[in-house]
Amino acid sequence: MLFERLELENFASYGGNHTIDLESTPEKPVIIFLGGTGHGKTTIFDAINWSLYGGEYEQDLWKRRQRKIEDYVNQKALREAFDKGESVEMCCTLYFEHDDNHYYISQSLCVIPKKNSKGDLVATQTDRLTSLYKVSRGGDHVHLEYSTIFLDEILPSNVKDYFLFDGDRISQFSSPGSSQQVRDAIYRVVDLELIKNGCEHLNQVAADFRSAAKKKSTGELSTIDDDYNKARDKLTDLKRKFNDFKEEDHAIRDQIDILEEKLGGLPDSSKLQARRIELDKQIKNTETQIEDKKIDIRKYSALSVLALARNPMLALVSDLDSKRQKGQLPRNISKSLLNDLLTMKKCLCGTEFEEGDEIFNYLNKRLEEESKRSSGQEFIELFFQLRATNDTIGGSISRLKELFKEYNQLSDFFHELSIAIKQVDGELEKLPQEDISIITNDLRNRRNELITTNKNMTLTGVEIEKCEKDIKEKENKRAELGKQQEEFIRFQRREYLAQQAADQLENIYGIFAEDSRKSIEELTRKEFKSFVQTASAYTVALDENYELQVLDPNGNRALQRLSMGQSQCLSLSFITAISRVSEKNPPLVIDMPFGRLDREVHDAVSKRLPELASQLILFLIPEIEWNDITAKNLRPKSSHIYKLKFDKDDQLTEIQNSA
Amino acid sequence: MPDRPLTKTQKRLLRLFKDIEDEDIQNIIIDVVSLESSNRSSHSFPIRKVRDVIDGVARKQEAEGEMRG
Repeated sequence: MLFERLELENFASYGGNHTIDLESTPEKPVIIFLGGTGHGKTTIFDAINWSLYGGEYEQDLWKRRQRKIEDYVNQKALREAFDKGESVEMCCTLYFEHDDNHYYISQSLCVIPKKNSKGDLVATQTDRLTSLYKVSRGGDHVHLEYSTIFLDEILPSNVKDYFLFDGDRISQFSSPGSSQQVRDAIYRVVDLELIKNGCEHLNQVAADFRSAAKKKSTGELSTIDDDYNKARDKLTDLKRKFNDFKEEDHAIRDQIDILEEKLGGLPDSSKLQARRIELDKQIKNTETQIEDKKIDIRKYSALSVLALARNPMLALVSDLDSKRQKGQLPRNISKSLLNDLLTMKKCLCGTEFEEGDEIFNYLNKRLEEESKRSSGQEFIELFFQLRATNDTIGGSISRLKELFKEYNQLSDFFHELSIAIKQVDGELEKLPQEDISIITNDLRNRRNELITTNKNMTLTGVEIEKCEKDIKEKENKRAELGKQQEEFIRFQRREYLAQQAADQLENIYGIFAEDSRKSIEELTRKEFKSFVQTASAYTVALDENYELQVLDPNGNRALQRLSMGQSQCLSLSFITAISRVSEKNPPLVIDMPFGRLDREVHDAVSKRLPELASQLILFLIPEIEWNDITAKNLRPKSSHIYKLKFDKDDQLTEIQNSA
Repeated sequence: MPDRPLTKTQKRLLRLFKDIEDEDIQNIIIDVVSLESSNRSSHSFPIRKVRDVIDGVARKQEAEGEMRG
């Protein structure tokens, strides 16, 4: 399919008639629309969709943007018609080529302008028409009946979303918890949906025939048939149960992904908590040290107070010292020494003596003399004590100075720690602690649910196997007994055929789904590497649960580590992959493909985009998306470049060909 | 709509269908998938047509059975 031309009449900001040439060549498959926000880019996107899908797209519009198709009627045309008392026609026609045939499809709406209770002009639909024409080789326009079947062959409505991308939808495939969207895309684009529906319909028909056969059965056959039907119903229930568990499993995995992303997005409080604990430890330690210093200070302060008596004490020491030097004080013979000698009974020269000996008597006599001269001895002792006290006072004073210095240092440190702890507390207060604990709890619960679901799936799988074996046995017995009853056999044959076809198709579905998954995974991986060279260390995986994942070199999930641009590249890679695998090859229409991309990947993506589809229609914002890099790569590949100029006064868009 | 060449995906599917040993079942599957394809957008699927496909194959088998006596 290739778009050839789009004609607009009074469609939104495109008042009057406009014709946009969309013809492209294989060498120049790109058509570009440049326009700022609100200039009418999305309107063209809507016009293409409305032309093709009519009423179905109107439902989409209402769901997505709460807009009715009547709201699209150009306001200027509506005002003029109101003044003249006329009706307005709004129309979009898309000309396209498909399989060497040319068609055009047209949606038109006739409205009459009316004023509502607020006095605003509103459009009321009076008539609408959808027409589809085929242009024959001779140039005749052959009217075809419009039906969705026609588009099913080209671009089915439920697949169009994967080729016609508006705004933010493009990155949805790579966001965490999007496995449902990824699964749906593969399911629809690769035709898995058809096979699945085929299985369901065949099962339904088999059940109808089974029920008809049962009505015809009599006697023992009727009993066996009852059992057989019950076993079949049980199997259907078990399979449904198994699929429900599977769906539940996917849903839980999606929820886990979303919760993990939320948790990853919250600031990490563990480092702050660790710092808080460390500071707390330091502050307690410092407090203890300060208390110790205070005790020491008190002790040395008490001694240092003696400094008040230091000067008279020093005068006394000096006086005593001069007397001692002049010999006015007795020599320093220690009374205690004499006592010790008498106790040990040994003279200083080493001679041993006994009580009553000459030496004993001499030393005893000296001791008595020393005792008589005690006042002299006291003076000497006082002298030395005074000197020692003086030294102690001096030492205490200098120690006290050191202690004060240390105390001040500790106090300063304590103050610093207090400030730091307040800062950490402040930062911790800012963190959504409750959110973190709620999310962590949620995450734990989801993981437990996942374990339960997996267990249920395994148990149900075992039950299914048992049930299938049971059915086989009953089936044989039923066939044996049924041979006697003709009517029964007629329905039984049909039921058997339908059931066999359903079972075989289900097997094919499994094989085909796995094949498609692997092909899409491989292509997505290849495309992603070509888009983002900087992420070459990452590997793309599309796991069995259809979750698009990025793995780092250690095999860890790294989707959350991708930048927004890289994430969009992953989505683009996936879209390319499904398009290639499906080989549907319709035009790819993308609104703002570079919107979220980093400038560094503009080059790789804009080089690759023109190769993705047979025709590529891009809506770009000038400067931001249409820059030196993208222009250099896309201009040579473009058949048309249109600039959309919006007149704010008239609320009208003008299309300028900028090629 | 003119016949289009089969895509790789369709060829792969067809190969899987052809692998089915029972030719009757194979034909039923091909017909049903084709029905699904041409009715993919319709809001009410014509289930009766699936019944007709099954009925057609069953009649053929019954006729063959009668001929064999």
